[in-house]
Amino acid sequence: MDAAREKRKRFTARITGELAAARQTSAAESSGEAPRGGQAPREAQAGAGQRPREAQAGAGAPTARSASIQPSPELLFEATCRAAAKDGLEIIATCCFSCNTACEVLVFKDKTTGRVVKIEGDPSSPVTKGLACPKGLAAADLLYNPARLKRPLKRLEPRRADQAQRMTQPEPRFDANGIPEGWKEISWDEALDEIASKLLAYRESDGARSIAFLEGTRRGWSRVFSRLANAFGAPNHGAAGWAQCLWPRLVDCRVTFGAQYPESCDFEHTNCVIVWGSNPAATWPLQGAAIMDARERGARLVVIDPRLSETAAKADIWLRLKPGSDTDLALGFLQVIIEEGLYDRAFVESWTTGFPELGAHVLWRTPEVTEALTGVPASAIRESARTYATTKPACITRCVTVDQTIDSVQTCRALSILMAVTGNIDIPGGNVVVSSRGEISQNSHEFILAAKLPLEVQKERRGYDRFPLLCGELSSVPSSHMPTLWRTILNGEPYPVKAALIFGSNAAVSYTNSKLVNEAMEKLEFIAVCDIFMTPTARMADIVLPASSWLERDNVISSFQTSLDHTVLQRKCASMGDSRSDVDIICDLARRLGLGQYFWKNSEELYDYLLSPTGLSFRQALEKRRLYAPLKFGNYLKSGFKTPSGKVELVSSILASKKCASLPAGSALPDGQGMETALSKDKEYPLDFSTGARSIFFRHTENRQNPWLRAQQPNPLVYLHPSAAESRGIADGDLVEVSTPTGSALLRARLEPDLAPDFVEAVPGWAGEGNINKALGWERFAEGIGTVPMRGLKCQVRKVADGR
Amino acid sequence: MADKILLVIDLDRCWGCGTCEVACALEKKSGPGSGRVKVEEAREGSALPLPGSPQGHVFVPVLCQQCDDPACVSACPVSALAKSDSGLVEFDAELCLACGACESACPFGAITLGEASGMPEKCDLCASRQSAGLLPACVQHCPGKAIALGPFLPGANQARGLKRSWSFGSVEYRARA
Repeated sequence: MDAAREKRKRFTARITGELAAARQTSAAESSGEAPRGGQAPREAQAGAGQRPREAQAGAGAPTARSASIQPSPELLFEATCRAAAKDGLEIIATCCFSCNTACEVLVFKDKTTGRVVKIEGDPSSPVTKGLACPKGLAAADLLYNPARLKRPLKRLEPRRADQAQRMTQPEPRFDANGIPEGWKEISWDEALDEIASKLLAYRESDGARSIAFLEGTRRGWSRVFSRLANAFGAPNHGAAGWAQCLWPRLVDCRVTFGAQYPESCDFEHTNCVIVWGSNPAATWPLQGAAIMDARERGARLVVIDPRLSETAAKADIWLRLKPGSDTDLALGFLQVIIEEGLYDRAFVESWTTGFPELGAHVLWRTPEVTEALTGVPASAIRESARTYATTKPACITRCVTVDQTIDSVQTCRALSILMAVTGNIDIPGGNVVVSSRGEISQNSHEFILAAKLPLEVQKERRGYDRFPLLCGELSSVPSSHMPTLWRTILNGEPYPVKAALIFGSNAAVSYTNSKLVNEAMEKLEFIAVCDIFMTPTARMADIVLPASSWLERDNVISSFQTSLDHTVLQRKCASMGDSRSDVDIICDLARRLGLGQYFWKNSEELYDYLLSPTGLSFRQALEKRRLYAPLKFGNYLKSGFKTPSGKVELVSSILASKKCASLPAGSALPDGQGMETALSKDKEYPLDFSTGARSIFFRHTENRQNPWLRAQQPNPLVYLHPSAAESRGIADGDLVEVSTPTGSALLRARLEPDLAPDFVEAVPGWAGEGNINKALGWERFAEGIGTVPMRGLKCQVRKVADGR
Repeated sequence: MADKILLVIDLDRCWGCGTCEVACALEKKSGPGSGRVKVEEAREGSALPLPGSPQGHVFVPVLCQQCDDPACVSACPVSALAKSDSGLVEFDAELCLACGACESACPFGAITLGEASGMPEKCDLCASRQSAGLLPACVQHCPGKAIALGPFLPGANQARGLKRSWSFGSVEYRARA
């Protein structure tokens, strides 16, 4: 540790120690806050149907004194413009797409050189109130990083010629002109014509099923790629996420409520927040800020996470569950709430189906049983369940964790049932559905032309028979089960898949069972990749297309991840080389495939179309910067819930019709035999293991090339308990191998005393030997949807020789 | 206790994300990883429960405290550093010899000689931004709104009890009492 760091550590110890001492003195003097585990101080508890908006209206507002200190958003914005003008800078207001939150930001361009010199949060934004995260602040690197792709590239030699180099050299080498060695620049016409002719030829010779349409988080929000897959007639369309990200939640929304209530929270008016398995402080700062505000107002915060995350550090109650036991914990909550009569009788009687079955289903799951299944003490289960059920209004926020358990859809269902039986749906401060600002959604089967794919073609989709919730009409994008498709690509059964069109996905890194996926990719005869950098995936391609980053493109962004009540507009700020928005690329490619009639002339025409119901053109909307419509509550009172019964289906008739469990089953109590099997396997791989930890500096596999972000987090990390480390001779910062029967990866140990001693958690998303996806296999899939579980796995950890 | 509080840091709201570090490094163009604020953390040991986290894991942004009795000012042989009436410890690059005495003297590790410039670098509360009517980069971007211009925190209220405060100079740390 350097001298300055040691001094800072001493300072930190001193200040926290002295503040703690001061706190103790003051606690003796006055009543202070409620003790840990008590009820939040509150004047009155609102009943189920009551709306506490007025009661709480001023509570979160700045005091008069504070308002006089902080300049108003308008003044700050004006000052920002004045200062920029003085420095010869032009300001372009847009929104970031370093993640799906799409925070509104200001991009500063040098008027003389045209270079983007800095990016800041927009202090005048009613959505973000000026915040930005490191990814957005440092995003100018997306333009000026020397490795940025600028023109379409064509491979010079067959893929096997550079396989050894790709395996051993983590980064491509660039020649004096900035072109990767082994590649040549070609024109857009040449690149797209070649891709189109290949796709048409494979469709002719082997059918559209022989071409995989793969996408990732994309480089800007759109669903035109799915539209292209369906228009082309390709049944095999998929992503590394989907069955492992958001789709399980959305299937739950659809079958339980017929709407997306569980995905959004009205934090502004809530009195209790449960953060279930996510860490918004690192992964969704805008949401984290709203939770901090709610907490400051006095709302209770319960965080459920096997690791003491940054968010959990702020929790009144932190439940350290066994990784992957989320369904059991939620069912345990339900047992307490039902047995103690803490549910919302009026809502349950009028608006739900299946409550008696639910009661019988969870009857045996006492807090003591739940403790055995989850590792959470029975007393904490009682306390948390009571806190959530009796502190109204309350909301639960969930994110990708609940999509990555072994029973993903059912984990989501268990949480939705909690929201419903406590009457926290569609009320201020509860779980709510975002407002409609009027524009056409890209998130619909109509938009992606799902119906254009004939049923007999849909049936050819890999996974169709086994995973109806992913491959069929209940799925947001009916798509392939990717592990099944990768195996088909590898072995040619039951039919050959010979080509892949990959947009905005670093497939070689982002899929689990990475070794198998890479072997499958090597087998493909033709690969085209569209991305911003020469990723490990792009290096395997035959043609690489340079996509534009968010700084170089327009967009209409409407998502529950961005805002409950705003649609935000993205404005092109810069251009880099010949890069193009992937929407423009797809529209152009569609024309060359003879599918022009289903697409738009260019991206702006698409945005005009999306906005047409609002009466605004895209250009007009850009001038307004955002569209607004207030949240509405009690939406279901008019027309019921959009489920077969018109009610919240605690017992799901739709899941039953798909031969899936109609109530979340959870785990059975471990029996003698099960324990024995577990024990013998546990000797080799004794540690509980998840790949859930995320960093604020990266998203998925992105951003590692950015020096400003990489400096903050230089290495892939694996968190483990000091005792697990000590018994293996591992010190903080050591290089360790995390292994499973499937494979292994090398990461840096980070010792965390708050973890369970037998739990390790790896940070995913790193390419090369640090890629933890190499250790994740395909032994088990979630029922109905085929999720590859990434929580509650088993592994071993050992120290390895380190180059340092 | 300083009579001029210029910056307030609320430990109840800091979750250690590091946005301030990146915002500062970019604003000051001091290079990746070289911002003038660094977030350190402390965990509950056997001593008293820590402030700022009910679970005993607290994050503390450490930066120039704009001390009332600054060790760097005493150590500087050419008076390139001085405590001003505004409460700021100001730095005059024209006088500086880049001898590093201030870096050694600062008890908080809040002054470093820049790798590229060789000159002392420390937080000046974004004086140039403030004179233009802007917030310091860390204040504007902090997602948790844990850092604010003093002496009052926007949005802070008493719903969870009074806050205790602590300072060496013009930077104040607060946590719920």
